[in-house]
Amino acid sequence: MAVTDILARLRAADQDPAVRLPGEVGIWIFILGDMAVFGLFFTVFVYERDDHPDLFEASRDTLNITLGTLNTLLLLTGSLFVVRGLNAVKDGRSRVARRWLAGAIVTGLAFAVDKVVEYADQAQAGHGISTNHFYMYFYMYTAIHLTHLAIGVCALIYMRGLAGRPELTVRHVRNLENGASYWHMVDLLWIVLFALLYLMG
Amino acid sequence: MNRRAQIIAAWCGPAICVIFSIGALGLARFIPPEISPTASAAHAQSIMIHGSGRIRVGLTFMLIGMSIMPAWGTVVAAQLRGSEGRFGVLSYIQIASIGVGSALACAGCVVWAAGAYRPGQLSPEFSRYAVDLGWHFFLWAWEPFSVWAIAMGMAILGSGNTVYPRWSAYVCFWTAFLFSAATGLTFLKEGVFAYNGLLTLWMVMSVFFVWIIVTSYLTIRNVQGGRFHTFHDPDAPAGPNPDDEVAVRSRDLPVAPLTNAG
Repeated sequence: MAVTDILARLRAADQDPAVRLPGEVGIWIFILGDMAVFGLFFTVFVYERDDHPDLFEASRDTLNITLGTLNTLLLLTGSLFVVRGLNAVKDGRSRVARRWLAGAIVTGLAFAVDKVVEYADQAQAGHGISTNHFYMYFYMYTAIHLTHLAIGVCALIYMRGLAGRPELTVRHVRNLENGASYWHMVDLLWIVLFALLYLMG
Repeated sequence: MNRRAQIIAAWCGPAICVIFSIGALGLARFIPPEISPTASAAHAQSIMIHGSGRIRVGLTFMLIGMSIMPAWGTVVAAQLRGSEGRFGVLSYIQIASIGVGSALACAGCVVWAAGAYRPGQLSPEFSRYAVDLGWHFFLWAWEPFSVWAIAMGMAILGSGNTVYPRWSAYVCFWTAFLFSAATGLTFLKEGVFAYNGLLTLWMVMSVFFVWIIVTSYLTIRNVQGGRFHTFHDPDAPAGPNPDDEVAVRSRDLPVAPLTNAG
């Protein structure tokens, strides 16, 4: 079945074709549920920051903003690659799609390497998870985000495998859209984390 | 019989929430923790001495709650087993993980109970150690629960499954993800990731109970919708089961005349 036919079927399955959700309802329950919890993370951080502005400011100054910015650029680029990859799948250009998705995987892996370098730098400077509350949030939030990213990279590898198939089913296209939506969530969560941890003054 | 067993097992989900809450919130008062990770050893000892009775009664409730978890988890695995085909590895992973997870949670309750067993005879440091160790068993060992929830979610998404709605798989994944917040417990003694913290204790326990209630509701609905089997033995002789025959009807019993003994 051609991908355009599948998309037409998916649209027809919805009551209002103008607002068709990419993927399926379940992945959006997951994404909104996860973002709600991260919303709680962010609220807790800001609340505590207000109590200890000097401590948080002094600790924030020790973070390497270059590495943080690089991470943001990597994820934004990765998201763009995923969009291009999915568009290529929908156009039936599977080789191109696989290349875009491989690019997204590389950005994800580079993000992880960047994060490990940053952790090592901080550890060398004597800043551990229990040094103060700023570092507690820094390590815990970024580690939880890194877990999300690792799962996202696995999803991208699976998606790359799907994109290479000669024929795609409704289930395959749905899973591709699920994976892409998840990856964008990983990106979005990082952007907020970056603003909170590295930029908020 | 199968229908009744499944319904009972599925109702174990809400029962876990109620029984556990009575023990943890009302009696033992481990939630919210009376003994925080930053509390002094003397404070930990004092609580364990003065509350030793109610703590042990509360822990008994908590232990019962955690002990019926395998019954609840197994009915979900049984519901999904049929759609997995011959090699139902995801169902087996669920059952094994339930066993490990509930054993670890029970171990936490056992350690706490042992800490309250000899009030006044344990050193302050040892009393505090018992509290810390209990939390490590109970909350830090979240991994088997995540393996369980992921296996459940994957079985729900499996191609042959029409037992649970697909969105419920994502609730499983969400639950499995959020359990990971308990990792910080062993590294931190204060803040939102300590064992009395907002994100480690309150969020993880809330998510766990939401997952139990949602899955219990769907499971009960499945069983009531006909997802159970009735026993039928093709080799059994035709006719009514002899066990079901009424041997003697009370109204047929002869009334013995009263006689004086001796």
